Amino acid sequence: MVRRVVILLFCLFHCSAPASAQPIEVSVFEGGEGLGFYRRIAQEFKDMVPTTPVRLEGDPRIADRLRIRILEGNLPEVTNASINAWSLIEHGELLPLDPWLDGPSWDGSTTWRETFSPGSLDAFTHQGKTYGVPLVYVVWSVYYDKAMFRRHGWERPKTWPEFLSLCQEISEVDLAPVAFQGRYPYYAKALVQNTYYQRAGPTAYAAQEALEPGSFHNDAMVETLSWLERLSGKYFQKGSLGMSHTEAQLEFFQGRAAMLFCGSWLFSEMQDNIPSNFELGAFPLPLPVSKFADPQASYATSGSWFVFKNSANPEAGVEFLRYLTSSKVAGAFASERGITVAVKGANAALHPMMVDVAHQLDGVRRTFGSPAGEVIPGMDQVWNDVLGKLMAGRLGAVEAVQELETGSVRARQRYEQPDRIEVRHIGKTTAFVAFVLGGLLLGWRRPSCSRATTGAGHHGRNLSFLGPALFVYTVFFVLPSLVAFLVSLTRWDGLGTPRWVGVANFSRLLLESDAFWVALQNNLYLMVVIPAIVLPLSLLLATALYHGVWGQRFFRIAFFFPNLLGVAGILLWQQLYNPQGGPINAILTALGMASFEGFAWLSPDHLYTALVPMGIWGACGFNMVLFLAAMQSISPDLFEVADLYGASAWEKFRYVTLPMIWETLIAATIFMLIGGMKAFEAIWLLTNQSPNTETHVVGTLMIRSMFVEQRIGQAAAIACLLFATVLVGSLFVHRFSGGEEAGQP
Amino acid sequence: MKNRLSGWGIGSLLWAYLGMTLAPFLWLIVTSFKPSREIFMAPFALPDRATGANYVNAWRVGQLGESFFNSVVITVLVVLATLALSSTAAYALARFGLRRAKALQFYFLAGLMIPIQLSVVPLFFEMKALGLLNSRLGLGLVYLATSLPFAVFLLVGFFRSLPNSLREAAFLDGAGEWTVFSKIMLPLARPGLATIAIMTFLGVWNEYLVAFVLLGGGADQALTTLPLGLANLTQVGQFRTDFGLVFAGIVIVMLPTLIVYVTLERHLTKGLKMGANKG
Repeated sequence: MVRRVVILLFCLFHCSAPASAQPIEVSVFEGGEGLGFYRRIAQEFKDMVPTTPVRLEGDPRIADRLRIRILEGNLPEVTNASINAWSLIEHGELLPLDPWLDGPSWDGSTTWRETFSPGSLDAFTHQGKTYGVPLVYVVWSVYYDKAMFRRHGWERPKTWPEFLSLCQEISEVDLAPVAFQGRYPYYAKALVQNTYYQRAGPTAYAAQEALEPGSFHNDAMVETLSWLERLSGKYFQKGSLGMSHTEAQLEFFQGRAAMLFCGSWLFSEMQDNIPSNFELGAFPLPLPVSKFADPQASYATSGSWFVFKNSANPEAGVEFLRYLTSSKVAGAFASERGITVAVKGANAALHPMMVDVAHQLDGVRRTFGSPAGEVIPGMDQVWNDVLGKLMAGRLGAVEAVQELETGSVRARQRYEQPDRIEVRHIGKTTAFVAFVLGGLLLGWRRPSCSRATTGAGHHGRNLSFLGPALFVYTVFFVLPSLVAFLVSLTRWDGLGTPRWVGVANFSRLLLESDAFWVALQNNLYLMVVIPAIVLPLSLLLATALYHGVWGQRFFRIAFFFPNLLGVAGILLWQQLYNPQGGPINAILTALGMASFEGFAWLSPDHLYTALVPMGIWGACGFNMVLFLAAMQSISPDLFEVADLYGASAWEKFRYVTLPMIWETLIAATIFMLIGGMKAFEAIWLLTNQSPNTETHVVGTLMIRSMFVEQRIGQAAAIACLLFATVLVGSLFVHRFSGGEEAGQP
Repeated sequence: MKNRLSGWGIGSLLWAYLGMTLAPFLWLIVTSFKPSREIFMAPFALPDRATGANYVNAWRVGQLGESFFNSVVITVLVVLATLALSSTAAYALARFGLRRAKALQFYFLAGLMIPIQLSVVPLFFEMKALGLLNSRLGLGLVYLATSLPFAVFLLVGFFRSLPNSLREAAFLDGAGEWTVFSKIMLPLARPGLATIAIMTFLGVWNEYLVAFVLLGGGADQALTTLPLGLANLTQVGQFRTDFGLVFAGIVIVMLPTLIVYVTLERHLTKGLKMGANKG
């Protein structure tokens, strides 16, 4: 009775309570500056509009998370993440903001649209409708320390020739002229695009943005890239290609490099790391000598805020944005965060440290910049790859231009003719198919007849013992794997409905895709090089332990440690490989190998070499313990017999130990091969979750297909090919080792 | 065969390899006590003032407490469930004389061949349809499913090696199937169970990819597992140039694994030895 009353009261209370306000969700890119400013704004907004509390979510990788949320259908109201807005616009997921833009601004003095700097709204205007509003409006500059320049009597350069000769002067006093955020090659893209615009003019620039044929393959682009080539070849700080953006920027602020290219978020990002006697100065990016050179035109990009149409309360989201971009808030943002904003007049309040950038903006009459997100997908990867290789000295300007042109042609073709497949790798495809078929034919064995005994009549018992395991295993593992085969035969972006395309995904991956074969090659490298070292080494160590060195148990435990670590181990090695401050380079230089000073182990050039010691460290322990266990189960009688025959240590190993542990050896080999094929975490984490074309393995390529390119069918096809390789590879090893299949007596 | 090897070569090889194995750990721990600014200045210098601030920050910023809790809950439950389901299934396959025993065994074994990456893509959509995305239950079920192949494989071998006479004797005494299983066979298979427990623990505790896909890349910080939490912490640390966070975070994540391993190592070796015998 009491219980019923309580329940009743509870219901009454709940029903009569005022409807609790539904919070809107704001997903923010969290850079170095943290979320403090946004939290304050969210609080102020809630105070003004109490029915709409704001739930803030911030993260440096917000874009990745958001992509997953979009696939899940779990949408926030508002975000400024760098997602692929174009695909979302096409699917009608983003709210067109024009009704509000044409309405009053937050302080009522004019329309909302009018409050923005000219051109800043263009980035996400499509077919007359505007889908994004900017807060941040970034210009790129060359940053320097005014005190340092004064000390040396250096002058701010205006043109590329002046810039390069300044670099030469700087290098002569033993200082690195330019720090560069090399792990992210796109930091050079602004520089390249600005130079190209100034060299070839607005029309040529627009053509390049639209990926028109020939827009890359021209003299102006060659000249542009030659400037970059010369700069990176001689004047980039040593090791910069392996440095993250904050690491390179730290080098700059700590005085080890004289200049830095960056967007106007630099101050905000590095605020806590600027020494007190540092006088931050900035000047515009160097201009080429050309009739098109226009000091009043500047490369600028807006950070855009979007509203999701299908979120719970999009109108409230728009209100939040109106507040966020009001002059008062934008002014506070510019003043506190020190980032230039797109709201007219608000930059007057820009933080004093950024005064040079404010001056730079003052003189600007025209802006141009690449719209964030790609209308034609795939080109970003090409830019990244080509710029990376150019700066690493692996490509000259002429070849780079050719690769950009080829890449743009392919991107365009794939966009305009999605069903067309260009055959480029017929030889490799044939070999692969032969490999798979061969393996299946060789390895296939008809299951032998089993001895049927008393199976009948025990259904209840059988079901209760076997049922649960079979059910879980089938539903949550086998079923999805089978479905993967089906999905691989479709084209699907995860949002709409899948479209049947037969083997097109496979044809494209095998016959056309360069990226797939490069990735497969990387897997092969991991499957061959690392086991080739690990297996003999662990065998050696196991033998040593077997012969009874003191502290066997201690060694066993310690050797196994690295195997336990997973992600933590990989991240540990990421720190070990730090170019400037990491112990590996420190030891190598101390040992006299000066070329390792600032060596960029984790840059695309050297990543796979760096993976070898890491792989050995991680895998030896496990294999050693495995072999040791196998050795210890060999009957001592065999050794006594060998002794009777006067066998030497080597002969005992060769004729007694080895055959007895053969099956374990084969199993270990197969595990390592499978591991090499399944490699994912190491490459994913060491490349900061964005490998480029030459560092991908098949596993990371799959995740990129699924979450970045949103080509679900392709992702599934990659997974199928991975599976086929693993299966066939194991079958081959098994067949040619002559061993019985483990587990089957 | 335990002849004492007097050769310097082998002994020093062991010690050298030991040094190389443990050196990164040592460096990690020492560095984690340095204030962030000092970290990459002089890699081998001892900290001026050892500070625990990094640990506090890492715990707080990375919300490692939440990740820890989630990882523990998921891992423990998955290990227990794996032991329960795989032991019963393996016993049935080994001892019931089923007609399809071989085929079913192969069915489970095939799971060892299937890389989880194959199922990850459809799994995402399957879990979405079942409403199990962003849930510990969903993730746990997937981990359970992927742990079963190896567990069943190992335990079938174990149960086969146990003498049938015991079972027959127990039946004669009037014991039921379940009693025989739980009171006689299971205790005998303890080394195998311990091995499964450790391997499953390792597999689940450190797992990254599936957690990434099914938990929304770690979007909801209350719902991350430790590997996800640590990876995110690294990103945050990099963006904030607060490397102390990263080091302390790595140590926090490593410690439980190492402790569990050292405690249970004996069983693992025994289990592996027996497994090696089967092969």
